[in-house]
Amino acid sequence: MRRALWLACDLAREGPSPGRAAAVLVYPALLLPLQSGLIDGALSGTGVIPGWLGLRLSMTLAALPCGIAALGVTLEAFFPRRIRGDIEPILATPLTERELIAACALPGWLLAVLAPLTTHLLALAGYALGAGRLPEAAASQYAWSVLATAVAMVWITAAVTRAMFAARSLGAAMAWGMAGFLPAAATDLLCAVAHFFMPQAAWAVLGLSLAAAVATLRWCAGAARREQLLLPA
Amino acid sequence: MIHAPGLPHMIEASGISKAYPRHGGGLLRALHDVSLAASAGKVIGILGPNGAGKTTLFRILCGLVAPEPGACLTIMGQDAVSHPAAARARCGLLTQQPDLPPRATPIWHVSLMATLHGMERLEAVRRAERILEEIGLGDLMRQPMATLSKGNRQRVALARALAHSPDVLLLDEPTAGLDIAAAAWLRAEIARRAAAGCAVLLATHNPLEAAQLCDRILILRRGRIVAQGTLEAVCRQSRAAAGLAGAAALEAAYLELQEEGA
Repeated sequence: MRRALWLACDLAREGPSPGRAAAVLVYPALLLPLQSGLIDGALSGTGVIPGWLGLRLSMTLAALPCGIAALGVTLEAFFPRRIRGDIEPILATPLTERELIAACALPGWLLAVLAPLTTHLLALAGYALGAGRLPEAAASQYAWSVLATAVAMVWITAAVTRAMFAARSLGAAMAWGMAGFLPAAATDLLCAVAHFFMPQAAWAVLGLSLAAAVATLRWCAGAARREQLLLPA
Repeated sequence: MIHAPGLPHMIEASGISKAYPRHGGGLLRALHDVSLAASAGKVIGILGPNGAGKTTLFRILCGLVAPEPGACLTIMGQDAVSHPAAARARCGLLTQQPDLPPRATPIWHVSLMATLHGMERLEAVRRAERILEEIGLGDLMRQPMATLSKGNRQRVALARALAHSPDVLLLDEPTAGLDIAAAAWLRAEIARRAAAGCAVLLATHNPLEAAQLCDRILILRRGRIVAQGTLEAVCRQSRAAAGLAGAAALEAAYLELQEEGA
């Protein structure tokens, strides 16, 4: 995968500049999670939001902007080059399809791992600031939120992977990418319903959703090869 | 089949056909039963109007697109249909639209291509530096691509195609849109690479270029070969080329052959 990493570096060079990326991400990735946690913390004990549901939902929602960022970065870095056709010389190297797909999806995969960890730490910090204490069972809530957001990010990454290769215009690619939010949102809803009846069932729903998301991601990557979508549009 | 007698073939292709699904149903036949062979040190010119199948042929030759079943394609003696990655390792492709990433520098981009071809990073950077020096971009190799002229960008595209020392060069309209000096430099460079032992396939719309550079010529019309052979042999197939010579004869023969199918 050494070649995939080098190609990912090349693709990243064509993405947003570090200054622009920081300007775009500072609110959704840093301030929004902190703000959500702060509001949850300030309202804790007032009965406005049920403790567990409020914290979990605000944390999951706070992490979703990172999904949008992953979509934007990936499409900006890869898709314009593919439409223009200058990806063709890269395809004409002995790079395997697995390496190519891995390189193109790397930003999304990195965000899927890193974003939930940092986002929810910030949200917990905000909660602690607002409430003057950490929430009950903070460790398990943190673990749940990280896992739930990671599941959402895998769904979004699968959709972005499909968008990169199947879409014929930037608008269609955006639509494909946004479609990844639907199963993520459905997972949230099912988890909330499951938790209402039996808390342990929410973990099972999350596990099933993760398995389905990984299978979908593998299908989307494989489809690019099966449908011969790796050539320029 | 085109070939130079007495030399081993670096490319041998026979029965190459390809059809794409057409929007709204049906198939668009891009290539039909094309056969060719190319030897070391020879330049094969491929002429044909837009949509004749030149780019599809190149994509098949370098393993980017699979031909229809029944095709036989070997690069350096290795079956390229069942091992397309091996074919890609042997071929250097200069595409029709060699747009280059605007923020990348030539040294980064060419060394990346060498890395993707399997070279160690340090070796790839040295190789890229050497090629860029050879093609006259020594002073510009660390400038962003966006600041280079079209001629210099085409030089980078050629360096990219040469990054892994390919045995076969596939050049898809390399001089299109270049000014006279840049086009002349590129033609000289193609001749130099052929003299160094590369087999070169050159798709072009320019009869002067074909007459000047090519040992053999192949004319495509709607995906089929309508003429092939040396410049003289192709021109002998045409009444319109009678009494003409060189590029003028080739142009007359080309126009007559295309009109026959109109």
